[in-house]
Amino acid sequence: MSRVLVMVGTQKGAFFCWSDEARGSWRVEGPLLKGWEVNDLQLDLRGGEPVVWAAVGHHVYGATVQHSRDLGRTWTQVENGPRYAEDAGRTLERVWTVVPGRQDEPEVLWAGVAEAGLFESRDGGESWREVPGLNEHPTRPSWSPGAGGLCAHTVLLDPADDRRMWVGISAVGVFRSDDGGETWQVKNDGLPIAAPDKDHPEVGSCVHKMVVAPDRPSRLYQQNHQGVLRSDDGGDTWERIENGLPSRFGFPIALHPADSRTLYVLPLESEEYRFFPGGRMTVYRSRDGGDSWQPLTAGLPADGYTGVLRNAMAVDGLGPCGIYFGTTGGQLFASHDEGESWQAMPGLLPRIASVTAAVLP
Amino acid sequence: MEVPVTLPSLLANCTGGERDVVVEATTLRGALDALLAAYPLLRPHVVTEAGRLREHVNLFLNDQNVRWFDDWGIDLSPGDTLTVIQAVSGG
Repeated sequence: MSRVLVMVGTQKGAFFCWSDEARGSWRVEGPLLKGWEVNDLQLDLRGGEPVVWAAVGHHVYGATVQHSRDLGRTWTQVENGPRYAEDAGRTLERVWTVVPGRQDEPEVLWAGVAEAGLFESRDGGESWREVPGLNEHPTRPSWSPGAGGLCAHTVLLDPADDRRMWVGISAVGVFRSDDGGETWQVKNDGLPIAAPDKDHPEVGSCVHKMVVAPDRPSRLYQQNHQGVLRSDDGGDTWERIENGLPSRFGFPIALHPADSRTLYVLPLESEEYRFFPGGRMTVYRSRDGGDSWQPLTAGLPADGYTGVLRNAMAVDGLGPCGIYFGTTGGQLFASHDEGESWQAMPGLLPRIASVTAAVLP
Repeated sequence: MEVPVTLPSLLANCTGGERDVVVEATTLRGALDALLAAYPLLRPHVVTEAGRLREHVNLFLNDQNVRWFDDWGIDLSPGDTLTVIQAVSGG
């Protein structure tokens, strides 16, 4: 029987939640990486043996990448991790995400960081280099940080075209490369621009989280600071898909692993308040690619005056798929029936920054 | 000259689990350089890309915060100790 692992990154460490395919009960391990902010955890199965990559940081001691080859028991910090050049005038404030490369390139990893930039490793994480085509993009002088800083938080690889990838940067927008990361184009056509820049009015869209459909890679969805949007042409153009949502504002967005028309968002009550509207914790699901939305509340609290951060919702690969999200109040919720019903998972954790789910043989 | 250095527990993963290490140095600057050379995993946690102490990291020479020293090239004396410590910041 397969094992289900939900990896939770919090402000003060990581917690690994284990279950079986039924996902009825959970065993929680942690805190792992005790005391460190864990912004992302990714399971890498490309090399055969599982490796967990962690985007780790601390408000005093800064950001690094760590990895575990024993499913969280021990961790090793990467020695030559992402780091700006001494004379770059930039600071590595946070590693937002560590993304394993494609199946046929097991030594490749990508890291999205703040202050905004993309780093690449081609030696299994031993050393990292900047991706200059993005980090020195001609629009860079017009990149301005939002409330959460200037962060490159989302890195997506096209599942069909091994030269294409996307990066999402808060308060800047979407960038796409069609040549393996050498050159990048702004892909904000149709996205709301918060404050158009006089030199580069095409940047300034605050993408909060973005996903690509594994079975239809021309289709992207994003939760933006100013709405929920869909692209059917790889990001060339975007259209709003907010019909039925109580708010345009939110952070995470998650996609069903086998159905590019089923997706999940967690609308919050405006940028000013950032908790569930009226405290009614609600997941919204669309079965038609965002044309309409259905509220899902069974098992969720009606007094949930909390929020969910951008990396804190995930789906597993089982059928029916499981969905998981963690709140800024430290609670985890799970559904193992595609969102029809929800259960609180055990534990009251520190502020939850990330949730990822994986199925292990 | 051997200079004892005490580290916060959070950074012990950078020194094989040890909070107390010893470096060979004759000056303050030399001690910091020796510490980061011996334990390179510490570098991103202690200093910025430009080589300055991180904003909320303090380095104490005995009971003095070296952040206020004009000259980090000062000679060390036998018995001197260094401590890396988180600044008291926030509430």
